[in-house]
Amino acid sequence: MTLLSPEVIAVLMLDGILFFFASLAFLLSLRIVLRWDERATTPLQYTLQKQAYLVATVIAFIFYLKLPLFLFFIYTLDLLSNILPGAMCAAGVTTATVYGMPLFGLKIANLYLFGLWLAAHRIDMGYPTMPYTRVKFLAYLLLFPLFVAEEALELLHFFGINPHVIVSCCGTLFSAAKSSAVSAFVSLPLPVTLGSFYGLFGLAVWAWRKQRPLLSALANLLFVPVAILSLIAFFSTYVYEMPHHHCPFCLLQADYRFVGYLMYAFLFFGTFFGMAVWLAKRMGYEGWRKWLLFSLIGDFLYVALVSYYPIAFYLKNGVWL
Amino acid sequence: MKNLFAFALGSLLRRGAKNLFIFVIFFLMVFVLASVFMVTHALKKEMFTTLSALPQITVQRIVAGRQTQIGVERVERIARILGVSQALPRVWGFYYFPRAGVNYSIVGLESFGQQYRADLQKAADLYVEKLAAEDVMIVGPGVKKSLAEHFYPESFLFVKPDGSLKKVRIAGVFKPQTVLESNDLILMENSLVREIFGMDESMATDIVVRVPNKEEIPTVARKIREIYPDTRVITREDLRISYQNVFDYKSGIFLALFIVAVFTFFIILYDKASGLSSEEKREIGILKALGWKIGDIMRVKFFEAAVISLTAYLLAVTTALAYVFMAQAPLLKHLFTGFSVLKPSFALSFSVDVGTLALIFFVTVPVYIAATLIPSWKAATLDADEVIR
Amino acid sequence: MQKEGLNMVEVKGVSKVFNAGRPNEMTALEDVSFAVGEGELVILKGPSGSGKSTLLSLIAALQKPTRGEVVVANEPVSRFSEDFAALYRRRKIGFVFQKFNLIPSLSVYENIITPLLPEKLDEEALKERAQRVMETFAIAHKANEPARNLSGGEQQRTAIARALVNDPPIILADEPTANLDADLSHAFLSYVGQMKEEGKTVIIATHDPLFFDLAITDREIALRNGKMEGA
Repeated sequence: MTLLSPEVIAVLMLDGILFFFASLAFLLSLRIVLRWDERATTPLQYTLQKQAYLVATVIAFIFYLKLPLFLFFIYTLDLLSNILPGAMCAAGVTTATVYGMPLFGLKIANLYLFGLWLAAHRIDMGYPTMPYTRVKFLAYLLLFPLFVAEEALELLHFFGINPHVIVSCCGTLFSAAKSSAVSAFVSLPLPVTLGSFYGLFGLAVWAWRKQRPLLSALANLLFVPVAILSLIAFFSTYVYEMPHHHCPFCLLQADYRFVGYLMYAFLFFGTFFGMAVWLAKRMGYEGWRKWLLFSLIGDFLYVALVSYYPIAFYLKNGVWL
Repeated sequence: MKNLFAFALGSLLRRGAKNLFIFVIFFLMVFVLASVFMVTHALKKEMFTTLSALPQITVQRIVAGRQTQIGVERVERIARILGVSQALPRVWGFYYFPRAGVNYSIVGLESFGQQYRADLQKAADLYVEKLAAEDVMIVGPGVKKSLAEHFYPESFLFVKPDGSLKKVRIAGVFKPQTVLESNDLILMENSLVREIFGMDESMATDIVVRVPNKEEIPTVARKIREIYPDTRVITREDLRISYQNVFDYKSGIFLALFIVAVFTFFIILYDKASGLSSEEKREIGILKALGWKIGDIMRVKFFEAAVISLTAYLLAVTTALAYVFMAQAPLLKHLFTGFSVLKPSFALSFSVDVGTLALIFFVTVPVYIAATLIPSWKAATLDADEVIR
Repeated sequence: MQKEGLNMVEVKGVSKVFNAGRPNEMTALEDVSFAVGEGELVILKGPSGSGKSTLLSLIAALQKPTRGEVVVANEPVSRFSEDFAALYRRRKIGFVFQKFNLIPSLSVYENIITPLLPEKLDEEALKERAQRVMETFAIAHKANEPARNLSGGEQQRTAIARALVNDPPIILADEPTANLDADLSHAFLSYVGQMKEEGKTVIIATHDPLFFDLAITDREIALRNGKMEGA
């Protein structure tokens, strides 16, 4: 039996629309990559130039729709957790099939990649002859399969959920007792977890001080998984004020005043610009220093927000969890 | 950006007739969708309130695939299962009143006994002496009204299975917390219910079981199944999930149909947006010759689409709120609750959540904007040099 | 004849072929070369269909040449991407069209500010700039009048005001007097003189004899069947 909730149908329908546009962009990109000749004045080149605008618009549409849709997707999973026996939040629904976790990872990766593509496009448009056109569209050709994989996983996931099978709740999924990659990180000694978290943040700050885009990109790239894992392992327990409640999803629920949305927004903003700045520098974009600053602000806000919980807890109760 | 936005607004107003047409249709679609989702959401909430008052476990006896009467002697055996704090037999059923064309739910009470629901307990306490002393009933407000309409203001004559009549006096009107379920409700003494339905003393309709520890419910349910293999054991959790599924299924089917309608509309929209008048073409040509980028024109087109779809969305959602919760969704409510005279007379209580609004948003606004993407691009890449010919 | 100093517009061996390789192939321009110095007034003359309009649209980077190159203020505008071409038109070119091409449902003021809208300007700056050109061309009293209600002369002045609102160094005019009576044509001529005084480079494509052999003209270029006469 498959789930036919309106939310799932809505997500699938929007996936369908996105897929249509992404495929259109793919076909046009293919033609642009093969036939683009910036010195030619043929009608074909002229048509290609116009189509390049369509591709860029379509990709922008996909990105700006995927951002809120990602939140809606999590919300849908949260709703489904009401139907699935055992699930308490989106975490249980995500693990209801083997596709759930890869789907999540791919969704996040694709958000970054589409965002970076748009950043590169914006920079390229700043040059009179758009010198990166071919590279840009070639990059999209590589991006498209990832997008298709995401959609395929999403279909497999939604149609694979069996509402009669009891799934795990986040409490067991992210507990130290279970043997998974996540659990392995949760059970790491705290100094290692927090050391790498604050260490990478320090590295990002240093990259800003020294104005090093490549360093910033590397630090931020590593910062994404480390931030999420340390959130699961350490910080989330202080938000819930329960030592064994490790969960990256419950943060998004009303019980915790939706603070998770703010956290993830800061994290995305900071790390996205942290990575994009390397691209900007490579493409000779003059505004890269500003992007580096954006990245610092986003990272800082994230670190400050998640650090607030344990510190406030300690000040209030005089002990750590 | 601000200037382009102002230009887009002006442009919408200048082409008022064409845009008004699109606006009205889009508004209507969002309105229908929003109303349906709001009604289902309110009903769902009502249903779950009702559900939370249900017993944790209900035991029914099944013979030849149908529910039948269950022996009251089983109550004691079930009560002895570890973790069960209470097991009670229930006597209840539906009574069809042909003249009014409605079904009443008759629920039996054990006077001086424990009830399985707090509200029933209250009613029983209140009328306990009367219920025990004579043949009386306590009815829901809907029942009281429909009986009065058919000239039974004081009492009613039930027809027993053997054809003989049984006169029962109305002793009071029942007002529990949710109206949806109790409007058609009739309460009377268990023995009286048995008499009207022609049931044996030793039989009950089903058995309800209370388990204080939530975690033990599945185990208790399994044990009952093992002791009495001819029973169907329903937990509240099962019911909640199946209700949820039924609602999801219903509104899912509706949404699927709606999406077909949406796409039809967007094909029309696409067509209308692509078919630029010569005046519009000239205007775009002029703008480009004056130094507008393709992106500037596409931005204006995007603003136009965003303004139309967002204002239509906001207006439609507000109107739907008024239609559903202030006007109580005339016409639409019956679609979801059936045409039975009694059942629908309940109030949709105000309940809207961000999720429902987000759902309505996601199936309409982005689709609208998607439908205008390609036409805007076509318009923005028109050759500008034609205007200087 | 050519002035000493900076070449504002250079047209280098430009050809434009429409529908190349098809049966309806049409050569609009063939190997046209000339240069216009800063502050010069140049008249492009020739019968209709001689390629004047095409040449103007190539200079405005509305189209790209099939062969050759257009260089404006040392920038190869014919190789610009569409966006840069637009930016170049917005910043460097004021265009006065045949039939003026105002947007009829917009007011005079709204028509005049359209070239400025994509720029990041606040309401104040827009008003100030529009006011300046509206006063210069005596149209300020009609600022809120829809363009469709304007007389021919008012339309002309609005169109010129719009072309000059972004203070461009180059003015291109395509048959500016084709729909005007004698009085308004002479009025236009005086505006051209005004522009030249302000140091603008002006290129007018016309077959109106009114513009021939004028004292203020720096040079005349005659086109016939897409070729420069006497070349």
